[in-house]
Amino acid sequence: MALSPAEQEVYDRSFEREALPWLDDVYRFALSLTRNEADADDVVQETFLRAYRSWHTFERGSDARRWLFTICRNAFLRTRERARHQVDLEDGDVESVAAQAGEALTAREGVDQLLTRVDLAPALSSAIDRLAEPFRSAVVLVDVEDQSYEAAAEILHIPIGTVRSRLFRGRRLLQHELVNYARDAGFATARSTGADTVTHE
Amino acid sequence: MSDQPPAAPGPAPLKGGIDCRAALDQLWEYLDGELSPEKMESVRTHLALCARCYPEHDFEKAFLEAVGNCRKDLCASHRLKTKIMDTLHRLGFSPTRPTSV
Ligand SMILES: [Zn+2]
Repeated sequence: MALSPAEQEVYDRSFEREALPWLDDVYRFALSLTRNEADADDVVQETFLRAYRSWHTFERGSDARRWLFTICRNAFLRTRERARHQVDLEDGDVESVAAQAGEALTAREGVDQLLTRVDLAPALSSAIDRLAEPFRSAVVLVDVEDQSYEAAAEILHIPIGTVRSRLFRGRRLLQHELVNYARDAGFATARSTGADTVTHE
Repeated sequence: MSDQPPAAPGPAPLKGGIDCRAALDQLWEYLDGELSPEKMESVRTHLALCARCYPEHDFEKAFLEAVGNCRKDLCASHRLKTKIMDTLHRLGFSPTRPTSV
C-alpha cells in the first residue's frame, strides 16, 4: 500500500468504523467453526489481518460483516489443511446424518414449556457445538448471526437451496436435542418422547 | 419441502388463501423473512385466521428466538482484541483511540 498520509487516515478510519465493530461477531463465527478458543483466536486474528490488508477491495456501502465472515471462513479453511477435504466428506454424509434426526418433531409440548420457562442458552449453545457440519455453519450464520440465506450462501460458497436444506435440517436436529433435554429436565410428557431413536454424531 | 414443520391434514384453504400444509411448509422461511412479499402475505393471512397453525408459529418463533439469543454474550477476549490491534498497528494501522475495538 502506497498511500499518502491523508489517504492512510481515510483508510484507517473507515476500517475502524466499518470492520472493527464486528470483531465479536467474527469471533463467534470463528468459534463455531473451530469449536476451540485458541484456534478461534488464531482465525480471527488472521481474518482481521487479511481484512485490513485488502480493505481497499471492500465495496463501500456493502455489508462489512458478510465480507468479514467470508474472509473468516476462508482463513479457517486455510489454517486447517484438511478442512476442505473434511467439509466435502461431511457433505457426503448429509443425508445419513439428517436421517438420524427423523423428519419431524412428533410431540413438542415438553419443549414448548422449556422455551418459556427455562434459560436454554447454555443447552442450545452446546447443542449447536455438537451439530455436525455442514449444518452447524448454516444454523450459526442464519440463526445466531442473523445473516440472510443469500449472505450465508455467499459466505459458504454454496447455492441458496443448499443453505435452506442445511439450515432446516440443522434446526430439526437442534429441536430433537431439545426434546431429549426437556425429557431429562422432567418437562416432557410420555408422548413427547418420540425422539428416543435419535443418536448424535 | 420435506424438511419443513410437519403439516397436519387440516381444514380446506380459507377462501382465496393457502391451506395448512402450505402455510406450515413455508413457516420457517416466513419467520426468516425470506419469502416473496406475496407469499409472506398469504402465510400471514393464513396464520391470522387458523387456530391450528398459530401454535406452530408461536413454537417455531420461540425456538428461533432462543437459538438467536443463545450466544449473545459470547465475546472475543480482551487479550485477543489487544493482540489484533497490535498486529494491525504493525501493518500501519493507527487507531483513533488506543482501544478502539
Ligand atoms: Zn392452518
